[in-house]
Amino acid sequence: MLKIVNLHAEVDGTEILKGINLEIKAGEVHAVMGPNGSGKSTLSKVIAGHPAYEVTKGEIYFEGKNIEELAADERARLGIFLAFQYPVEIPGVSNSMLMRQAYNSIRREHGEEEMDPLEFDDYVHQKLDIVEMDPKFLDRSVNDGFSGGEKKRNEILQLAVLNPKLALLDETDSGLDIDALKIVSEGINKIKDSSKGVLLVTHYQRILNYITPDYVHVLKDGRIVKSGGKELALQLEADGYDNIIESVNGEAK
Amino acid sequence: MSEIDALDSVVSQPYKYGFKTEIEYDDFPRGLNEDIIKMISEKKGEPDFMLEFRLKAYRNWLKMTEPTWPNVEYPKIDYQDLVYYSAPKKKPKLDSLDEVDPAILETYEKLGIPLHEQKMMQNVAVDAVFDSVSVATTFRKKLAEVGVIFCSISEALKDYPELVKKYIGTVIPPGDNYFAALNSAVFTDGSFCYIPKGVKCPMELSTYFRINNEESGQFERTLIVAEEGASVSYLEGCTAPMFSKNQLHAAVVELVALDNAEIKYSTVQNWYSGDKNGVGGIYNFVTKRGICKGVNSKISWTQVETGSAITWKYPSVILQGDNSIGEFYSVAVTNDKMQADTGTKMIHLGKNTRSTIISKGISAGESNNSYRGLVKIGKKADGARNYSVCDSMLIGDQCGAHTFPYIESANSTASIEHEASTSKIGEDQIFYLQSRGLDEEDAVSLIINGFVKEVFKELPMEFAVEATKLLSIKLEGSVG
Amino acid sequence: MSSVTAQETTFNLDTLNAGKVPVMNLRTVDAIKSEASVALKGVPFPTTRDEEWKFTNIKPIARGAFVQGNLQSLKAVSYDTATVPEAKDSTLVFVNGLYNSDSSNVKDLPEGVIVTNFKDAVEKHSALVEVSFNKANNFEDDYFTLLNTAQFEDGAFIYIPKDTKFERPIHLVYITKGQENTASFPRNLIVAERHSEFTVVEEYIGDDDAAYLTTSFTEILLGESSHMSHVRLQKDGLKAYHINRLVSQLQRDADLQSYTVSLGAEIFRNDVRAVMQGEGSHATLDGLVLVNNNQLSDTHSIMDHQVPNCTSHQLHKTIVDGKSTSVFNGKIFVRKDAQKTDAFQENHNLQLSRDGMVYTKPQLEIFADDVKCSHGATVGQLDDEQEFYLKSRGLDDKSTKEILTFGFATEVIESLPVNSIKEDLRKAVEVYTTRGLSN
Repeated sequence: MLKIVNLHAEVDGTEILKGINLEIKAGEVHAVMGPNGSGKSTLSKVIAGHPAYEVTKGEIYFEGKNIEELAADERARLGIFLAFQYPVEIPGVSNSMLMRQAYNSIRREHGEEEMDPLEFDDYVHQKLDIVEMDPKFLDRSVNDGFSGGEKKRNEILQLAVLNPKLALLDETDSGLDIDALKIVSEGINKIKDSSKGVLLVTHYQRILNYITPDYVHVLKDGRIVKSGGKELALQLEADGYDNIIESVNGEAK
Repeated sequence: MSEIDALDSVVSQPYKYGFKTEIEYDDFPRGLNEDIIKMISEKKGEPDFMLEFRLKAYRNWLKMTEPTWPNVEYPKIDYQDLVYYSAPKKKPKLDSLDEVDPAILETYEKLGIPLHEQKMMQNVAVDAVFDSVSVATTFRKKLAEVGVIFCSISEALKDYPELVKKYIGTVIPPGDNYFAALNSAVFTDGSFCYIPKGVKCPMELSTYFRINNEESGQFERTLIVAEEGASVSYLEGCTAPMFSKNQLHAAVVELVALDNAEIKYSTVQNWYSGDKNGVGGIYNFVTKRGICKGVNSKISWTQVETGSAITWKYPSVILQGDNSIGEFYSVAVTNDKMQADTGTKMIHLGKNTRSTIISKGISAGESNNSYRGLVKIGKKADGARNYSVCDSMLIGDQCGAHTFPYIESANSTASIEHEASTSKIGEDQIFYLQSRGLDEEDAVSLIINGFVKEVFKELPMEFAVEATKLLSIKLEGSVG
Repeated sequence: MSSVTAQETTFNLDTLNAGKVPVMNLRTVDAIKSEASVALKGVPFPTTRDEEWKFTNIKPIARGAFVQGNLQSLKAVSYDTATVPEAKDSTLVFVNGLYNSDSSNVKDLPEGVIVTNFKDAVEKHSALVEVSFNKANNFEDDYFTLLNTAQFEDGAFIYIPKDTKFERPIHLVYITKGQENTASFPRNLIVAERHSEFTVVEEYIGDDDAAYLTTSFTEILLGESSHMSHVRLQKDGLKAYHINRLVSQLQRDADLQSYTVSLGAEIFRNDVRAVMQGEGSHATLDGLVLVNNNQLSDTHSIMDHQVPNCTSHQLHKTIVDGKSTSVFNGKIFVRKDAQKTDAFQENHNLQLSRDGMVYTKPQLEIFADDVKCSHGATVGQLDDEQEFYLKSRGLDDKSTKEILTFGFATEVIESLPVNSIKEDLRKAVEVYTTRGLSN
């Protein structure tokens, strides 16, 4: 589904990603972990097509297609979804308005008929339960005045509504208390299925207690320095990044 | 129809009201002097006091100079080259539309304002002003049943001269400013609304202004009086054909609210704004002011300014009655070479008076958009409160946004809060929306709609839809 | 039509220096002085009909026949430089516009640093003066700028060479003493080369019983990455008229922190401008105004963003008591190419008395689209919630109000760079807040 080959990317002239190789197949959950500044968030933003990041080398293929030239919205309509680490506030624009327009633009892309507001309303209400959200959130402005936890739940609600093929979850767990983390994780578990790929970017292991990854990658200084199964995450939690990375460096020497 | 759908459905069409209606005119010769004024007054069969009023204003005007303080530029206007009276030749009869020139009826139909009984807008009474005169007023009988007077000011001068005499010029005196003085001397028509004591006007009242004649200036005069405990919502719309010459529009609107009365005045101003190079368009130099004369009264101005080559207007409220409330909600959009200098004045005289100012300016193209406002707290206005927010958004790097709020406080128990900001549409907001699948144009529309929402929600339903469409047309192609 | 009335108010120029322009004996400077003198005759004396002077009636200034101070009056005054201990060895004293060398004390300057009076600089550093004098002046057709330029006799000259950090604050003291109608025209020129760091305090003091006039002008040129802290204390006598102009020009990455505190004078008009000419430069222009009785204090400021990526901040606070008036007119001006400008301005006014007047006009003039600019202005009283909180802790009404008023004012002076001055001002604010509330 997603294939990243020797990806280099920079922002404002500083190289952040220095040769990433990664392949995610349908139904797989990949966790990317790493210390602050390792490039994890950059990776998800580059895949989603953030204009501030420039790909200087390498390719990103989505369902066999090189998506380098595609703008963020085009990628989104192909089925790539980014749950933001810091969801943006948009005063005056209601959640339901945003979701309906986004959802219909994706349907248009697939040659499907647009959903009318009443139909869509029913559809969204079904999804609200996934993240235990109050319907009145739909009428509120996007993330405006939301608490940290509400913002993250809102991201997952959008994920459920837009139903993408690939979900990029950028530190969705950060800033959440345990109850919120449970709700968000369970929401993600309900959404994911054998047709979807998930890339879960996280600093901490704890979300992996709720969402079981098939693969764990450790990112350091713009490169994947170690990959393994879910046990790697536990090892990271126990030994810390420094030890893992040191041992990697040791191996490299 | 939702806001977004409305935006989507709009086709790329710069100014769809730019057609001209071919009809015969009854025009006065060009130029302005006391004889012309006497001719106007005579033509309209006015009472004597009105002619005196006009002449006094004219003599004032001769002594005044055109204001230079607004942040706008235009070539000098030759006031002797204008036509001060221009009326369609067929004079309509009061009770029937049958004798209105069919071309004019068709014009209004094209503008989306059908005047025929069977097609009239539900629950909106319309006074249609075509160039200098009112051509039709709908629902008059129904309104008369509850005592509401809604007619052209010319008719009011004939039928209710005492009422007009009592209030005209009391809010905006004939010598108030250069353009108000000119209007007071030469105004030809406009609307008159009178809501008697305790009556809630059962429908929206609306005047639709259309400039059609290339050579004439339009000087309409509107007077709205709400007696004790009365309330009314009034809408004003305006369009004009596309001419390469500039036309002058110098209107005066006076509102009077007595004890516990409420007047809500909404405008969607869409005069022709000139072409991309700034050729043609209306000079919209308008004086609008209301007085909250009575206790607990309320006057609320809502305006969506999308047209005119130059807009110069400051709908204001004099808060004289204790506990009275003044509101000003404004969206001003400028594009290409348009210039707007608009805002409000809130003059607090009574105790515990409150005012709110919400102004949203959007500048695009090579336009300049200025907010200019005054909040003045008089010595006796104990406990007065004002809250103002003026936000500007710039689209492109060839335009300008300016904020000139004046605050004057002479009372230590007053409290005034003013905030303003200028910004562009955030790249991260656009990216967020794009990452959800919206293309850039849609993303920008959505954000702009969010930006103006606070003001649009004040508009009556019919106008909100039209305003949303206008906004999108106005900014089409200016983003990206 | 108004040309007849505009002539009503004129300022008597003939009494100044016997109608002549004081000579500096430096060709370029004298040329600029005589040009200003000629230009002055073509500029009308401002009246309230001028937008820039709408609320500030300076007719009383026009009524006086002012004369410059003489050498005799100079000798009669002494000043103890230890008043501000941090600056006791870097203090220049001016009396009635003339340099008082006896009271001044400047020693142990780092190599290349110049702290002297303008006349001395003209003699010893003429090349430096010539390349920098009047360079930052962007006040066109301004009556008082022209008046200062034509009539100044002396002032301070400060030069900080590159890579030099001058730790001690430089204290400039301007005293007006003696007879009624004394006029002084201090002209200060401050030049900082790249990577320099320094602090300058200007302090204006005078007798309470004389209606004297100070027309000052300070020009600051800040080189690349230079850092300057600037404090201006206006503690004039309560009958004084004081018109000041301050203009600073900032090159790339230069940083100016400027604070103006105004306590004295019957009429004070202060125009401050920061011109950001180099990318990455930053200016802070904070102000505190405390007025009472019949005082009028008027501050006009312009943050002029000419190039991209500059920032500017302004916090201007005023407290109005008695029958006094405060005027604030601040503009953030972002020129066409000044993208990524980040500017904000706040003006808060506390109105303590029924007879006070507050006029404020914060303005944004923006010609670039990718900017973040905002301003806020408030006029009002002390916060009810805060009052209640303090009272619920047992404070009486008077001390509650004093504490809150004090807190309102001290926000501006908290970040002043010179401790003794900060302490001094805290006391002055305390005196004002207790005095202010007692009537």
